[in-house]
Amino acid sequence: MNAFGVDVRGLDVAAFLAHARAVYPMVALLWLALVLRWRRAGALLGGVVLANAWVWLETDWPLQRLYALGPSSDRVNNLALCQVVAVGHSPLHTPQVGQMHFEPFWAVVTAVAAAGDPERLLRLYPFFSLVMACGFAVSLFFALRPGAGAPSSVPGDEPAWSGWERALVALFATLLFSATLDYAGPYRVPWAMSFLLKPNHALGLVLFPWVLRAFAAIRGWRGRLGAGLLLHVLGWVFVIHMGEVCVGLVSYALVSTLARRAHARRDWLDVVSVIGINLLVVSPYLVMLFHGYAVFQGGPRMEIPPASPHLLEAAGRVAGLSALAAWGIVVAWRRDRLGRVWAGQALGALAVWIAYYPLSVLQQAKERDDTCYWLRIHLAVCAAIGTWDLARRWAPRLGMGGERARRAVLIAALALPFSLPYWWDPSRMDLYFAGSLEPLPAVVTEPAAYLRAHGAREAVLAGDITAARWMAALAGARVLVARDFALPADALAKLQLSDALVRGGPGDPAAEAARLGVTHLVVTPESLAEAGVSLGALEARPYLRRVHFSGDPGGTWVALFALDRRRS
Amino acid sequence: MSLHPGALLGLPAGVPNATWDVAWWRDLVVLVGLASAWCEARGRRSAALGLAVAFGALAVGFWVAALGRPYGALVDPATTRWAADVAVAGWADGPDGFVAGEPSRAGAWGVLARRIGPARALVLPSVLPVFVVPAGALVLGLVWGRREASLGGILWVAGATGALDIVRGVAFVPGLWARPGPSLLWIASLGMVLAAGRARVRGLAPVAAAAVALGWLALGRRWPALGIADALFALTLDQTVWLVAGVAGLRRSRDPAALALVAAGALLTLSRALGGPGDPWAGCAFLRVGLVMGAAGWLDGITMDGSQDPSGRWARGGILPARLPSAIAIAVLLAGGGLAWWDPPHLDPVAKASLEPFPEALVETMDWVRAHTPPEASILAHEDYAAAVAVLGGRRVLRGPGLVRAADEERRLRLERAVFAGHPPLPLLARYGLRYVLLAPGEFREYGLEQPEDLERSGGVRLAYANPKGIRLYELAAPAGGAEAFK
Repeated sequence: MNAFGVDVRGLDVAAFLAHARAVYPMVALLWLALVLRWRRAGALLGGVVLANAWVWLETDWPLQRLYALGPSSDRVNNLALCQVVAVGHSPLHTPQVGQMHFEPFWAVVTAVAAAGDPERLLRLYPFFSLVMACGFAVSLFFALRPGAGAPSSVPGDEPAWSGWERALVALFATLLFSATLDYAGPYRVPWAMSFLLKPNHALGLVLFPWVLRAFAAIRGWRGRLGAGLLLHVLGWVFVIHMGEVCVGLVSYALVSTLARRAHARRDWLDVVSVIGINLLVVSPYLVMLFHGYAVFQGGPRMEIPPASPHLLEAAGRVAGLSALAAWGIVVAWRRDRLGRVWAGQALGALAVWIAYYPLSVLQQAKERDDTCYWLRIHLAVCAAIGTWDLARRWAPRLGMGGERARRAVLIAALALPFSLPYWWDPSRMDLYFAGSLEPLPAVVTEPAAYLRAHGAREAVLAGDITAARWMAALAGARVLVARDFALPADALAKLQLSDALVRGGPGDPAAEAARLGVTHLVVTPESLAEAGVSLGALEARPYLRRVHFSGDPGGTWVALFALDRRRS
Repeated sequence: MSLHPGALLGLPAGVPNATWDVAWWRDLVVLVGLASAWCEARGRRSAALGLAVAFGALAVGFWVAALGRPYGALVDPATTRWAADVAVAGWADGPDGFVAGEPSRAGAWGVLARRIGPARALVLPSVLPVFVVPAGALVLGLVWGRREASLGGILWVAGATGALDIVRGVAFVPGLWARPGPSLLWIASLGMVLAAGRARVRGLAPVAAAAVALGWLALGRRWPALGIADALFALTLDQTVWLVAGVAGLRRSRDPAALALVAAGALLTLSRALGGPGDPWAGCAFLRVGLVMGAAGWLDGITMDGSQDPSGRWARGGILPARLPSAIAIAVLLAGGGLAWWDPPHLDPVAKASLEPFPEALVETMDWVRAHTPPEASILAHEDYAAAVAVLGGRRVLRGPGLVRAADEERRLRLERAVFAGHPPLPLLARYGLRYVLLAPGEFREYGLEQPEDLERSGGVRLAYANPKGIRLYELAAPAGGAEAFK
């Protein structure tokens, strides 16, 4: 079954994808013809939203499991982070007992959407990607409405930030920020990695245009407080985006000073106030982040990949977009405060990207992928602004005069072959697509179903860290240690406890487990082989009671044991 | 013997490295592209063309030099068959192909191999792409004969291979490695149409293009086979900016050569898509070059506000305002074009496998085979090594499983069985010139061999060569009284 409950086992995936690619251009051109007839910018925005939905549907329809669940460690972890909140635990904690969470907002959103039901959350999760992709387009369209900052117009008596221009911004920022050959590069296809794989990060994309709008609209301390608080919400969603926005705001003030603008002093005051308020509110969280997670821990993986021409990677692969963005930055800067804030963001994103050169030397070049996508998005936004301006200048030569609908439709038509749905082929370009076609194996889903049916909320699992992670992701059970999560400070002791529960000692492992609230032990053939203990020996432990077994006894299986302190 | 393209420049295998050197190389290539744009902006179009040609040669040259072996050799069956025939033609001579008694497909490459040596002939198709893209630019620049010819040459380097072409499977440059002959034919066809267009004889260019199209159609159905939808998209939306600028330019210039190339390209692509003869790779490239010619004319005709003002701020920096649009286009199209971002190891599994040099032990063994076995002798080898015996050892094989199935395959199998049973019939040995058996550990278990040495038990063989990896070459001893027949 796919996300819609349709049986797609017999689907010819290659043919389905080929048809999707063949039909899209025709549908897109037809839609553009209708936009020309309706002459409404909202219709163009609707087309952008539908195009994003098209890519999502094309990718998700053939899948019999949640996208990337299994092939991507990130996806399993993220789901686990959400499920524990969905079953009723605090959003401030991860599935690992006693560990604080670093991105709690998303878990709250998903838990509320699923009304606290982990099974419903599993069914809903694929749709979050759709909501985020379309939400980003809509968010850009509305957050760029005129009204933030001083009223403005562009030469030729056209209103600034017209609906057509904003619809094009939405189009460029969602459908053009990925390049055709990105799939061969180190950061893969930004759209898929942002929206399909990490809708939690994409929520930050939906939110940040409103942060910038709030900043541009500042009139006094009330506005600064509001913008600062909104910025701190962005930090709860995704701290990298919050950091990027801060750098963008500083860039804005810096360029304002360099350009000797009369309001430069005020700009600095706004920037320092907003960032200061934000830091004041989120400082406890940041302290936790620095202490609880090895934020400054370096390593060879924190270097720029050797095969990546770093600066060109983000800007050169989309050279046309970058050239248009350069002009767009100039246009936006000259326009109004909102434009200058967006231009500052683009320059800030570029500055962060360039800063990775020294960071790479220090082995601190972390989260390069998210930074790359951030820069691409800002290039795309500014490219739309630049394109709209160039089109306005060239329109008389093309005999279009001041007719904005035709101009916008022409730009959208020219952008069509570069847009993601035109060339997107997940079977070739997506790392996780092929691995997501098959349903999850019963050996994973059955123990999770057992836990869901028998009080996953109270369950705390010790044992195999891979199986435990799956139980957290599918049932919302908490665990001592889960694979690929940031290790808690007392990870070693917890791993030793798991080992002691399997081996039967040293000491009284059941007592120690009870102290930590452990309710179950999950084991697999691999974990038992590592400990040199047979399943039979485990069943003989007085404090363990087998409550579930699924899989092939001679092959792959998962066994769940309930801990019984009274029998120890 | 060094059978990798970089050896022609004296580079050892593995230099340049496709992982560690590609980043700075790409920076360099883009820098050359930007230098070309800079020259264009300053009105030095010949220098811009020269730098664009250098851009093309460097962008392609890196991947050519990075290949550890001739493209596709011992990786792709079709290329391996070709390489085996060429190598045998050069090293062993004779009319047969690499499977003894079967016809050779080497054709002119066989003649070339005899003349320049098989090693060079084998490497040549892998090296050719370095020259084909620049050659296309130079042919455009020199033969077209219009004012914007040099700009057309520069734009051809930028537009020859687009990202969408790569995804669709009809990209010009990635297709060159597998089409050494057609790539030369393509350049010749382009030159012919351009020369006809320059001759100022009314109707000559369309006639030349028609002749070119017919010639390509005569080659039959060629790959890749696109469906009708793919073909239509390849001819329209995949052309992106080239379609818009090209059509705009062609509407104005009505250049007969460019129009004829567009028509010929569309014909070749559509004909193949409809099930007839044709070559989408060549067709799309003809269409693209025609549109590039149109785009060059369009771009050359763009004027910017103030471009006629020689004392403007641009002019004071040595930049000709009239050249700014074309310079910006060159910068963007070269730096962001498919050629700059072409990444064969990630886009083409054959190229990825071809980065690996041939194993050293295999090369040593085959060097020995070439040096110490008679050229007319053929060798019985397992499927794993039969192609290597031909490509690297230059000797024919009895059977080429996975590559060629001979008409008398059953008889050859009978002989194979008899050899391992220890009593090969002399007439059959003589018929195929079979003199040696090459064995590696684990091969021919179906004949009861656990180790190569087990063959010695059956008698009638003499160990000729052994290497530490366990590869052994046995000479079949001539039975008493059978020497004449054996020859």
